[in-house]
Order: sequence, then structure tokens, then C-alpha cells
Amino acid sequence: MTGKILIADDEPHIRRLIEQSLDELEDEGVVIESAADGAAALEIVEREHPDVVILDVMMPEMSGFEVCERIRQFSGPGAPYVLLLTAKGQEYDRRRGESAGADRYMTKPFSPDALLAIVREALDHRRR
Amino acid sequence: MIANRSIRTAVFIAPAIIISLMLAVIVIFDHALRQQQSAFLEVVHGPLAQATTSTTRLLLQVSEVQAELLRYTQLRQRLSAEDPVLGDLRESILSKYEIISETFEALRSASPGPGEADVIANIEDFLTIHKAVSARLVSGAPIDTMSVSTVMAHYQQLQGYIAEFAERSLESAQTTTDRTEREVRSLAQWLVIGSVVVILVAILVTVYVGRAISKPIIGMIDILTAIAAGKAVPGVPGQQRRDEIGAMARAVAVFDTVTRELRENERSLEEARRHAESANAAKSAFLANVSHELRTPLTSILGFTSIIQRRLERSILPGVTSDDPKTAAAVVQVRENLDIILAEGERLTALINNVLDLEKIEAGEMTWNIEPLDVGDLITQSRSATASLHEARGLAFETAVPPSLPAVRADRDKIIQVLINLISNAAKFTAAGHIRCAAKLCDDGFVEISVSDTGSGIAREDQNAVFEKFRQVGDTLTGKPTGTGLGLAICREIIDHFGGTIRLESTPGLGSTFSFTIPCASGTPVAEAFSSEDCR
Repeated sequence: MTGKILIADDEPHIRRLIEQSLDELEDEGVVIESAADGAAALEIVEREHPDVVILDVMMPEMSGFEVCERIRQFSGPGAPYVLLLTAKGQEYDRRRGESAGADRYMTKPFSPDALLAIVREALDHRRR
Repeated sequence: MIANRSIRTAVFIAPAIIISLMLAVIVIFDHALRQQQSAFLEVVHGPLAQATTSTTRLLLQVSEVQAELLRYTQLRQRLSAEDPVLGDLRESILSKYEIISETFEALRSASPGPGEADVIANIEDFLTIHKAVSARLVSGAPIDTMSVSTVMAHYQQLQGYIAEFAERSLESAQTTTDRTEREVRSLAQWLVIGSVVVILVAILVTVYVGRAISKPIIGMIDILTAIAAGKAVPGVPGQQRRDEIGAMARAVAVFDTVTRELRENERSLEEARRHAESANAAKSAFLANVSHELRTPLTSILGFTSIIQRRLERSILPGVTSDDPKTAAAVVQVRENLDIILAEGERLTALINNVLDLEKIEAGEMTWNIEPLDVGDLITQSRSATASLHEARGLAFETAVPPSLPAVRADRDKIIQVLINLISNAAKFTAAGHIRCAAKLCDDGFVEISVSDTGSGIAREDQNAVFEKFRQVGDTLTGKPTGTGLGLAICREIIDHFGGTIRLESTPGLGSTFSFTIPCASGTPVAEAFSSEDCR
């Protein structure tokens, strides 16, 4: 399997956790990149055109909502699948995520298996 | 002056003063006019009339005497002194003098003033002379021309004096009339002046009394307006007065005090409310932050535990030889410990979610999507969401929903949350048997949904506590707390929000039934015979 995944989270432990959750995909040949803040994430999206972007909401420089909105603004048909992964589980935040154009909203703590399944499905979907 | 008299009295003072003054003026002028009138009438009817009558009579009588006297002198030249004609004439003349004397006395007594006194004296003198001369002429002596001419002269003189008297009487009457007229005119002036003074005094008294009454009332109105506007009032004046204004001022002072106290209370209440609100807002913000801060480490703990579990199962354990009983025991222990970490982590996550939910409902910040819902659907969804729990324990799941049950009005997610909570509890405390989920229509327009189990039941003394926060009951044998202690508290808050009630019936050892009511979608439905019954 090929593809590119971008993980953006300011917590190194969480980045490590997400990476390890997806290591099966890495073994299969998927490239995983990571960013520690919103601005860096946006830069990588513009440069690398990842297939799936996993965004934390509360990040320095630029929030996940904003990154998601920017991605939706400039990317056309090949737009990445955006998954917001956040500790903010309130209904308001969920709606905010939907209006920012996220494909999926997941709250922390999350199940690594569930995350793997979602990302795998997203990659499969894009390949079709 | 007015200050200590009651307003009821004061309002009568002004008109009373005015009426008295008017009456006084009227009485005075009436009296003066009557006086003038009587003086006038006295002159007109009294002296003037009398003078005029007497004068005329006197003149007439004098001229009659004179005429008879002349006739006597003429007859005497032809007749002797003893002739009876002359005798009769003489008697007539002398008797005429008696009448003249009476008339004169009347004239003198009627004489109005000293102005006529000299004329009266003159008339008297000439009357006396005339009478004396006449007496001599008619005495029988021969007539001498000298006496005749004297009597003629006296007669003329007398006539003149009588005429003068009449004239003077008229003049005097005229003077009296003129004076009366003048006095009446000046009285009229005084009447005008008096009326003006009375009117002015009346106006002044009215204004004074009016101000004396209205001024404190206007002051009181200003004070009341100030009190109503919440302005500080330095003090209510006039409280020491003994009239109605004083009573009013004291009442206003009480009103002021009460109002101030009320405002003070209101302010402190408002302040307390603000404090409570900001404390509540701070609590909400704090809880939101805490939950966020707790979620991040929980994510790592749960996530890495899962990954460890996965690595263990897929990469490590396959390489471990389980021949050694010690290693096998350790493997079992590690597996169990990892399960405990995951279960407790999930419980902690649920606790955070429940605390946030409860906090949101209590703060009135929960969003409710109220819509008509099918009870059968709700039960089916809740059943499948909890399938893993009751299936894992081998419990039968029964449902009893009448086909014609009306829809209910509630929030789908919230009712499912309640049902999942009740079913999970039932599954947790039921070792064997079944879970039964039933619904029925009540008389009062509500649908009752119940979740029964055949589990351990809840002791009577614990039954009231189950809906309280952090009051976990049951499982006391093992001493192992499961759940968050908030589930039923949230259920009660949710059901309360829809206007329903939640209650528990339980027999220890036989099982428990949790039932709650929610209103029907279409107002109060017609009670249907098939299942409608009293739910209480």
C-alpha cells in the first residue's frame, strides 16, 4: 500500500502514539510525516500533498480548525482526508469541526485499532 | 399657622374668611345705606312736607283773614258797628287767628333747622302785630285809613316772610338731599374699594391656604419620585407636623426606609447572583479545562496500553515458551493487569464525560433536540448498543412494546443515553436470567418505559440514594466500585428536563425495575383501552 499520512499534534507522546497505532500501514509502505504545530502542518500539506491528515485542535501557531479550513480553501479534487482528533469533545466543538470541513471528528482518548481502521479505509477509498 | 391645623380645616378657612368679609361689607353698607335712606326720608316726609303744607296753609289762612278784614273795613263804612253782619265777620276774623296760630305752631315745630329760626321769629312778630292791628280794626272803632294801610303793609311783609320760609325750607331740604346724594356716592366708592379689598384678601388667603396645602404635597411628590428613581433622599421634611401632611411625611419616610432596604437587599441579592454566576462560569470553565487536561494523559495511557497489548499478543507472546508455569502465570497476570488498566482508563473517561454532561445540564447549557420519537426504535437502538454487555453475560433480552404506542417528545440521543445506562446497570448486576424492556401508555399523557432485571436488587435503605451523585450502591460484597456514580444522576436530570419522572422498584435478591415517563408527542392522547393504565 502506498500513500502519505500527516500527523499534526503539539504533544510528542500523542504523535508517537498515533505513529505507533498506524505502524502496520508504515510496514506496508505508507509514508508518515509529523508536525508539531498548525503552521508547520499546513506547510507540509502544501508541499507533500498527503492523502490523510490527522489534526489536533489545540495547537500553537494555528488551531486544527484553521488548518482544516485552509486545506479546504486551496486544495481541489485531490484534497486530503482530514481527521480531527481532539480532547475537546463538546458538541459545540464537534459542530465547529464539521463547519471547518473535516471528514471525521474523533475525541481523545481514542482506540488505536479504531484509528487504524478509519485511516486504512480512507486510504482505500482514495485509491479507488 | 396652617401647619398644625388639619387640611380638612384649612380648606375651610379660606372660604370662611372670604364669606365673613363679604358679609361684614354687606352688613356695613346695608346699615349705612339704611341710615342715609332714613335721613333722606325723614327730610322728605317730615320737615319738608310739613313745612310745605304748613306754609301753604298759613299763606292761605293769612290771605283769608286779610280778605275778610278788607271786607270788614269796607262794610264798616256803610254799616254801624253793631250790625250783625259785622259781628259775624269779626268773630270769623278772630277765630281765623286761632287757626292761624295753630298752623304757625305746627310750622314752628316742623322747622327743620336753625337757618329758618330768624324767619320764624319774623313771621311770629308780624303775625302778632297783624293780629293786634286787626283786633283794633274790628273792635268797633271807626276805620282809619292809616290802620288799613298798616295792616296791608304787614300783610305783605308777612307774605314775604312766609314765602322766604318756604324757600328756605326747600333749600334746606335740597341741602339734605344733596348731602345724602354725596354720601351715597361716597358710600358707593367705599363699597367698590371695600369689595376690591375683600377680593384681594380673598385671593391672598386662597393663595396662601392653597400653597400651605400644595407646597408640602408637591415636596412629597418630588421625594416620592426621587425614591422611585432610586435616588438618595436626605430626609423627609414635615414629619413633626400634626396634620395630614405630617402623617403623609411619616408614611413617606417609612416608604423611603423600606425602599432603601429593598434596594439594598436587591443589590446584595444581585451581587450574590453575580458571584454565583461567575463562580458557576468559573466552575464550568475549570471543568472544561480539567477535562481537557485529563484527556491528554489519558489518551497516552489508554493508547499505549492498547499498543502494548497489541505488541504483546502479536510480537512478544508468540516467542515466549509457556512451558514454564511461572512464565505462564506471569503472562496471565500481565494480560489481566493490562485489561484492568484499560477498563479503569475507560471508566475515568466515562467519568469525565459524565461530569461534563451533568455540569452542562445543571448550568442549562445542554443542547436539546426535541422531536417526536418512536419508543420501539429507541429500545431497539439501545439494545444493540448494549448487546456486547448482556450477550457476554448470557442474559436474555425481552422487549414488550405495544404496537399502537404513541410517539414521545424528547431528544433521541438523551433518551438512548438513559436507556443504555439503565440496561448497562441491569446487565452489570444480573448474573443470570433476563433483562426486560417494556413500554406502556399512561392516563396522564405520558409513556412509561421500564427496564427490569433479575439481578441482585437494591436494599430498601439504598433505594432513595441511587439517583444521587457519587452514591454507588450494590457490589458492596466485593468492595469493587464500577461505573462513575453519576449515571443515574444524569438519567434523572434528563428525564426531569422532559417533564417526566424516574423511579425504582426493587426487591433484594429478585431484581430491580427502573421506570421513567416521557410526554407523548401529540399533547394528551385519548386514553386507549388496550394498555392505558395508571402508572403510579
